Amino acid sequence: MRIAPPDGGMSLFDYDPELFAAFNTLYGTLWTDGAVDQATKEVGRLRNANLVDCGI
Amino acid sequence: MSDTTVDELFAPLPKAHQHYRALDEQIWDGRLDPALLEVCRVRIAMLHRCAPQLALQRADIGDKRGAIAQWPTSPLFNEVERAVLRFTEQYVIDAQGVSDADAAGVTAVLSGPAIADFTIAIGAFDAICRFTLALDH
Repeated sequence: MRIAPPDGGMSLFDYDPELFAAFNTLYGTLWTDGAVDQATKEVGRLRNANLVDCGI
Repeated sequence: MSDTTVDELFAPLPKAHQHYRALDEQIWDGRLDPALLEVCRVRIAMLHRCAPQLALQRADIGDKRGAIAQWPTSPLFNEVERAVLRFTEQYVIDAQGVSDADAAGVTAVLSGPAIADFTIAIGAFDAICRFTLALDH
């Protein structure tokens, strides 16, 4: 990991949990809200991860 | 702020729009220098050729606005701005290509909390440009 998390944290974003929570609220809403089913969104997510070679 | 293009594009998704606005407000609430954010936001909009985002001014950056493409050599940009712009450009063009040196450049000039804020901010700026370009035609 290039940038270590803070003590007790799991990722870089634990340095600012308030902002990370705002990001996750939006991200979660994009998954659970709207007219497109989650399986279709997952196909898009996986294709995006594949294109940018993101193993996470 | 006039950001009507984003507002219009989010109109079919009011909950997502509300949460995007909440995230955007926090990004710009001063936890990270707005001028530093603005040079990154403008550079991202330039790389994407995203006219609606280029038309916005979220913070006063003076003459830097017209010189951002010349950041590697322009005397207007300091060490911190050069480090974050180097990382930002690589993130937008090819995130997998962000190098240890790119990351080290940022860790040398920003604290841990500032790096977290900066990373979320450029992710949001990049996403909004892509979202705008894909749907605003």
